[in-house]
Amino acid sequence: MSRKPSRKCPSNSKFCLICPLRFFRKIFPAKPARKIVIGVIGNPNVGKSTLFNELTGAKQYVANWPGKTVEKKEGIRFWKGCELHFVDLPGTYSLSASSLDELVSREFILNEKPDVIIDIVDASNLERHLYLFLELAEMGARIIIALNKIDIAKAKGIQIDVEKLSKLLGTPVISTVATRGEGISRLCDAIVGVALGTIKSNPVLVKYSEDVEEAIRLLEEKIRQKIEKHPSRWIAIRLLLKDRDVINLVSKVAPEIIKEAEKLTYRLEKKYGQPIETIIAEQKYRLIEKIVSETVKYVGHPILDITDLIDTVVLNKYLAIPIFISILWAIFLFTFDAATFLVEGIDFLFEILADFARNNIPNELIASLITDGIIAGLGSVLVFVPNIFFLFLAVSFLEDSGYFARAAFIFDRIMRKVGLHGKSVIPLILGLGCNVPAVMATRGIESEEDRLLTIAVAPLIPCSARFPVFILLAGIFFGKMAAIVMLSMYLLGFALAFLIALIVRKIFYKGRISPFIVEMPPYSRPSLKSISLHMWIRGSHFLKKAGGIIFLMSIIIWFLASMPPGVEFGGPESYAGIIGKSLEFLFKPLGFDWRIVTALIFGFVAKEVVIDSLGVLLGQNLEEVLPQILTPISAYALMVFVLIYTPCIATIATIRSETHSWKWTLFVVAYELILAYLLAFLIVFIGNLIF
Amino acid sequence: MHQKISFGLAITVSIVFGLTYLIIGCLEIISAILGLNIPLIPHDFMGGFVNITTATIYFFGIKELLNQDVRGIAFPFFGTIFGLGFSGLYLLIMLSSIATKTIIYNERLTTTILLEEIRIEILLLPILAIVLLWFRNHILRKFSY
Repeated sequence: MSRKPSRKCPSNSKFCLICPLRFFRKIFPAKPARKIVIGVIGNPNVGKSTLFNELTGAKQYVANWPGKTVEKKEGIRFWKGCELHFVDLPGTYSLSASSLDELVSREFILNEKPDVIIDIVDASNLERHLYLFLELAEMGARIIIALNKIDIAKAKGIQIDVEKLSKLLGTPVISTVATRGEGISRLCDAIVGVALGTIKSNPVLVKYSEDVEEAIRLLEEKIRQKIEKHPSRWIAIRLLLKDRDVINLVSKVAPEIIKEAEKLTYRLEKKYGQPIETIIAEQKYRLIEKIVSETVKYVGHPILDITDLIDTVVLNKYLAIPIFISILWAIFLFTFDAATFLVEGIDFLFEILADFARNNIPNELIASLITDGIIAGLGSVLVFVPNIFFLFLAVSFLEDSGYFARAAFIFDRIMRKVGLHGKSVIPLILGLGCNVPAVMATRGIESEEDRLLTIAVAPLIPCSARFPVFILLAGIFFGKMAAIVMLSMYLLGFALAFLIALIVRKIFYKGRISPFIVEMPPYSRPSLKSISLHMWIRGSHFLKKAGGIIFLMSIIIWFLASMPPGVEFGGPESYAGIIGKSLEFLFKPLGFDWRIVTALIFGFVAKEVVIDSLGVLLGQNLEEVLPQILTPISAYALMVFVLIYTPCIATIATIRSETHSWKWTLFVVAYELILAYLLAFLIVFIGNLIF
Repeated sequence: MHQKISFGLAITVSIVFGLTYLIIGCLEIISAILGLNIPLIPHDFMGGFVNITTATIYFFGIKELLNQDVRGIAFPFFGTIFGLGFSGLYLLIMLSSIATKTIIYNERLTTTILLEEIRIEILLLPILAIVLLWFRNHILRKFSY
């Protein structure tokens, strides 16, 4: 039986090497008929990222929203001759613009006017998720509902009449199971259909009570004459709701409407005896209840629900924290021990490369630049890559499985006492491995203030790079007490992080902590594709942002350590030595000589470089040389200094890229330097008084 | 309303695995503190802590299972997933370490290397997998949609 050549390539790729038609296209790429912009929105933990990954695959790029610290993820898919350009909007429960995430989403829908909005709705919790849909409908968006987690709904005995739901909502409703990639093709078909007008999307609008409708109508008439850019009904409703941004917008063109709106709001509030927000929300929920009652059936109640079963244990009063600690331990094992082979492999390859360069480049200076500068610099970054990627794989797995939401819930009360948010616990703990992913993990914190605060204190957590410095100094100076001294570093790191958080909260944010609202998503088995994509996107972000800076700094330090020509590498006559000597007077009170100062400057690149630098500057036998230049007190002060002083270059670069603010980055570096110096000085001063 | 059924096997699993993990956990902590060399037991303080946590999870369910409450099954079920996860992780670490020694450092794969790397939790992996399958097929499928 001969097979007919398929007209449609199954790979759905623009450049497919399999079929001749696609090969032709590779040489003469076909121009997509139309670019369709799609905003992807949904409540937090609805499976938005997973669906986004399924829709776009690896064709994603990440940036920040202009002028905001909120991540903007975009991706492309080619479908039926159209270029579908997806924009992942922040997870949000409503569009009232009370948080940065809500504001970003709202501005995108209003100003960018996407062709289609995909509203991802949790099939097992329709009531709450449809609220966002009604808000989108009022904004005049063309919506498609992705009814996600339909499998979980079925498992819970929830039956949804999808056709009827679509009819009642006036918009296409597509059932999906994002974790398994189900429903993606139908969703893409619907997007193209709605964008090209072959499928209708006229989302249902809430019909409020007569007096509310009358107030809306009165405002709408006036608004329509003055503002054409945005839907007049939506502006009228937002004015009644005393929306600050909309008031600012309207007051510029028609301040008299504001007064009118205030009067109408006052009248309504007086009549109902409730705040306007409650009046509007109640009427929205009334419509939602009606729609849900007509489309959802509960066919019995399950005796055992996996999510409930796991939560019985994971959220148990006595077991929650030991389980959390064990899971963190598992992350560490996976990140550091399971990645050993790859780490050692990369290290080994770089050693071979360095030997090759050293033996085959006749010019000593160029050989030194390539081996001590470029290869050493590049190696110092790439050797961490497996750890970083493994860490992100583990974090993505826990995020997608639904555990992280529980972890934040468990720790919220404790973190709140020290001025941090429940969700700060994950970044802080990840900081024990590496401060770079710790800073990046703060993206899960919705409130910008809480996020900035967590970023500010995350570098105080002793990362694994500081571990070799501690172990070397503790081993040389404290003998049997080494383990306790090591432990004191970790305790001090956490104590300082909490103390600084409290102080910064008091100074900058006047005691405000955003309320902790988290939806416990049902546990689900993460798809390999989704977590691999998460890992790749986050890991490559680290490589691009941090890698370049480390590489550059390594060359700069090589230059400082080996110039002017002919000096001993890192010797007192080298520029690095000159800098160390010139700053020595500052560190004399701490008991550090110029070589320690130079090593600390090198440690600016990466904390483990402190040990390498000391090895170069003092000779390899540190066990003998160090006790000659440091006392146990100054050694302890040095440990504390290394614990606190300035985050490494990679962390600084990450803080800058995450906060979008040089001011905040410099603040973090400055307070850590000052704190490190003051604490080290205090240790030496008090230590010398006592001993 | 929770259905009342006999959970004899689940109680037995909880007791057997609870005790096993408790003993292994204590031995790992003791050997970490005192530096004792016990075959298949590494000097691993945190590993011991994890094992004692797993044991506690198993023990917590016994009371509810004795009361014939179906929700008590959550503890041995989660304990088994938890133990299985760690066993899988230790297996991965063992393979990574052996690959490092043999491929990168060119050492020969000998019984000594294998014994150095293997730990008792890895040996529990197949048993835990069977228990998890039993939970899935005989308890969860019966009582959930």
